[in-house]
Amino acid sequence: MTDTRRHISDEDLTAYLDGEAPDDLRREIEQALSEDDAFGARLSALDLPLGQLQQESARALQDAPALTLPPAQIRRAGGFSVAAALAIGIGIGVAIAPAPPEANSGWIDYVAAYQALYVQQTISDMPPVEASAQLAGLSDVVGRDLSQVAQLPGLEYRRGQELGFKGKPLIQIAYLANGTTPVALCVIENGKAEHAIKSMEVEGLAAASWSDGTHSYLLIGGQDQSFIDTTAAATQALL
Amino acid sequence: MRSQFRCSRDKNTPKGIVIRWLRKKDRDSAIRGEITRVYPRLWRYCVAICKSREDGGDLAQAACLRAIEKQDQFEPGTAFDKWIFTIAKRVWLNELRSQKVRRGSGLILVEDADLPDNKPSSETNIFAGEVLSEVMALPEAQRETVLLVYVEGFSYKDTAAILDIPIGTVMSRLAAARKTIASRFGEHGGVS
Repeated sequence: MTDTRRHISDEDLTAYLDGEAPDDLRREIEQALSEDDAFGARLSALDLPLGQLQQESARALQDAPALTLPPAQIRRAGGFSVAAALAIGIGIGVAIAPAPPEANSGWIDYVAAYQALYVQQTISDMPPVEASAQLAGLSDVVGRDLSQVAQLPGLEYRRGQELGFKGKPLIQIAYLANGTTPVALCVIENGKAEHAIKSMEVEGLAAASWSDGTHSYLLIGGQDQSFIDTTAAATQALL
Repeated sequence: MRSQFRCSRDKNTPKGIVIRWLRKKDRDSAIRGEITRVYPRLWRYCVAICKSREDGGDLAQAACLRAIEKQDQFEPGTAFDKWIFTIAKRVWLNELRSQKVRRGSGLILVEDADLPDNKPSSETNIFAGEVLSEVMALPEAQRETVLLVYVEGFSYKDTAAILDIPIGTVMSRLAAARKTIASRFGEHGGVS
């Protein structure tokens, strides 16, 4: 082995075998191989059955389990908070939602689009509040005593807030059902004719609405229609 | 408190925000598509690194979730697989590996990463192939490098970036691994 070849390291030979050697090194190695049979033994000592390795590895791919990723709206990082999703979700409702079906009053579709953005964390992350104080204030705003809805069967009170629809106050009370499912009771004073509880599905959510002649009510959330219907009946009785 | 709810029908809907959100949504779906495409390879790599189906599955899942969270940092037009493998490596190094070592089921301590790994890996019999099992017996540092270059097909440069090591280290790990494997096949009269 000449001096010029002695400096060719196993790392260099590896790079050569992997096609990663720069041109000058590659030429040098090829020349050494052509002139010196013993030099070839150094390459043999680095032999790797690459094709076989790749075949064997390919078999392992078939064992990969199915991947489950969380739905997009649960994602909270990347500066895209649930709060932001809710805030701009209203805009989305206008921008991309299909025209509301004729059967529902406009406000119900908007409430449903809003509610559909709620995930468990939206509700469970809300700080605890004094329900009676909140409801007292909201009762004044909407002109209907709502103090009884702090306790509804199967629903944990999380927050009441005043929203607005066409210049009228719209009260939204957020609950968590079974500790997991966001459910909301919404109340608006719109003078709609009295009607009994009507079951419906809006935005993929179970819902029930009724009206007492001055106020309209909507209970909405989850997919369990019978739970919503039963709870709506209980709520109507309390109000 | 009145919220933006009222704005829903007004002309002053924050259109710019909506457009950005939609773009983000497109980006999110694109990232999810890429993750799904790369996932089997990522899973294989993670299981091989952890030498455990359970831990490897956790690592792959954690890397996918991290990729969704950090999707803003992905530069479109660059190699997605390189990006998510880098994430997996970081998650493994910074979080899961130390937990695994702490809870006593760690196969290797950080300082032992260059020592041969002869612990049994009954959970990883998917790697039972003749050559692959030799790769699995390599020290972790060599094993991960061999997998990235020879199995996943990354260049030296990309592998160095994924592992956050100099290219020279990639080369020395590969050379050492090649020597070990070539000698074992010689001894056992394996594949020529």
